[in-house]
Amino acid sequence: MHYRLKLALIFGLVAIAIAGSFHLPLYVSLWTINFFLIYALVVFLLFYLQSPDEGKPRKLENAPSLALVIASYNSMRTIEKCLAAVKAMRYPKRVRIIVVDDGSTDQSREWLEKQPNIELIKQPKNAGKAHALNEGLARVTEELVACIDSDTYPEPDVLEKLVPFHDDPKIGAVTGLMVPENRKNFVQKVQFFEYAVGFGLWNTVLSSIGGMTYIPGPLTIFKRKMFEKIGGFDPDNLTEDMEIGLRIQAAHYQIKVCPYAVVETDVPDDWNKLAKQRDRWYRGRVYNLFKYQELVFNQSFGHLGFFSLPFLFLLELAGVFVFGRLLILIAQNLLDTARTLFWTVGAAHILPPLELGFVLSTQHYFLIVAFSFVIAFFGLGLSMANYRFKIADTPAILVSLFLYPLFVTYTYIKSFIREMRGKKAVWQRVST
Amino acid sequence: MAKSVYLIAGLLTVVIFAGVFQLARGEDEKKINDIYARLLDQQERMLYVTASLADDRASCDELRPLVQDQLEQVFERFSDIEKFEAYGLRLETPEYALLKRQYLVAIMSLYLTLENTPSDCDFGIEPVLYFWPDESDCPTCATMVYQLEDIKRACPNVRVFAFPSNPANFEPVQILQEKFGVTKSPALVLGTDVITDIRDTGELRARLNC
Repeated sequence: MHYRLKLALIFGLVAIAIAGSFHLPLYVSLWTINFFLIYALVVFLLFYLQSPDEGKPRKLENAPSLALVIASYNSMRTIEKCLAAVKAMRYPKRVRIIVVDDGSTDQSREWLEKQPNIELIKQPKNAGKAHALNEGLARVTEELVACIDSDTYPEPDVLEKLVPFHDDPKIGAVTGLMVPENRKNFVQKVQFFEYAVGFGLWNTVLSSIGGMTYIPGPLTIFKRKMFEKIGGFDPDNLTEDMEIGLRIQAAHYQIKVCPYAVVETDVPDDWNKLAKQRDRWYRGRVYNLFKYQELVFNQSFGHLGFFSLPFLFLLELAGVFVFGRLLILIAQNLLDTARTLFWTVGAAHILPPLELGFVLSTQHYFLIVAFSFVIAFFGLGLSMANYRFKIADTPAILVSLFLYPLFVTYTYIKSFIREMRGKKAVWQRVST
Repeated sequence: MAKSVYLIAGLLTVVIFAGVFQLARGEDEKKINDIYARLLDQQERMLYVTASLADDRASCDELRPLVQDQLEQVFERFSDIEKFEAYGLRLETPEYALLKRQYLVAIMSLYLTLENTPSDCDFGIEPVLYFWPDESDCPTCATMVYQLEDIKRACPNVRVFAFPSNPANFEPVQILQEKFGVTKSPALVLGTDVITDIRDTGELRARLNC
């Protein structure tokens, strides 16, 4: 079946589910969603408890040869700091640094030309990040290669912590904990919590069961030989990092996460830029899920096929369901309020407005339990990221917990519709 | 081991749900008891007010806040029922039955107050009594309700006091039916006239002077 037709079918099914849910008692939808959410979080927590040492760094005993590939496009604002951070990373052997300038039109190319101890590849025109990385990979002869974004600033111990995982021949890629570099802005603070929980706890647990659904773009270390087997990055893919992540696992390599290796990266500083970035992420996520649909419910891909991929997709659809139903409830509420005002002026008959509260305690209790699990999961993720609570962060934490999921879902719905309609997507740089 | 995680998680989730359900049921029962206590209190107040009105003809100014308060009570009770139904909560629960009963008491209180007020008091409400039978297939009822909706739209001062014709353990409805000589339902009481068949909407409006 055609890809866009499949998306339209899924979209229709979710719309029918939302419409149909209004013919069922509310508690059926509430209990189903709560049950699904609590079940998934319990699974996550059990997996977490099962592998408490997951991602803990080991001592670097063998130091394989290593090259770094940095794709740079109009990165004058960030490249200097990025190179400084990259050069400051400790490693027992000499590390080769290859910077691929992807047809920059700002001053970054000229600046890079003057830098010592780097190899600069100059692309005649802008061809995209995946293409630039492939150009860099073609020059690499070392055993390991780290692909780094030009707006990313790894901590000095990142190589020491990540490289030892590559002792295992089954591991194809290793990555760390990505966190926003700048956290003064409110939007960036909210993203910090998202990254800390998502790249930290979430990815670490998925890594422990071999169920990672992507590799983070800012910094990942790969086995070079693996690329010979599976090919380089896909230049036509909106999210080349997710695509390569699935391709790595489709070739039965594993992806490992070490949340103790902290990598700072630039993140969008306003909601509009964030929405554009997420549009690309979510469209890429939907596209790649269907591109690699043979992994789903395929026994040879274990938890990736039976849990991560279907669960993530179901979670997103559940979000769309809740969001859709909530919107309709709010619309009903507004209509009823208008009706009430009309009749109140008219006379003694009244239809009262609906309130977004429930009569039975059972409903409250299930919501409280589901939220408790979410908060516990959130707290665990933050503690894993060594976050120390500050009173000033309270608004950002509350927004992350209660409002940000609505933003994410709204963006997801928009992206899904754009993908379904086949709208052309543009690779957006996030913060330049 | 990994596969059993899914099973253990399923069992744990079921246990959590069962525990929460038990805990919440206790809370719900407490809530129902509270509603029941409020209902009894309201019934007592209703009887007290009706008795006082019968004994002592209060002035319109004294009655106005009482009518206002009772109207608010009716709206609140109706709101509770609307919410319950709109959210698709379980309608067969004792809580829902209590809410309906509470609404019945509230509209009966208001009706009796209006009935017992001096004729020169104008609260802008023209009461119409409607007794409906306890049966689902009732074309006459459907027509009457449709006509009443039409009348309410045309005459904003008309308020319909709809009661089931045979509510369990609710004596005031039987007393009202006896008072107006209502022997079958559905029945409309306009002033002192009892109408049990379909009449023209215009005729009904004429009887209500609207």
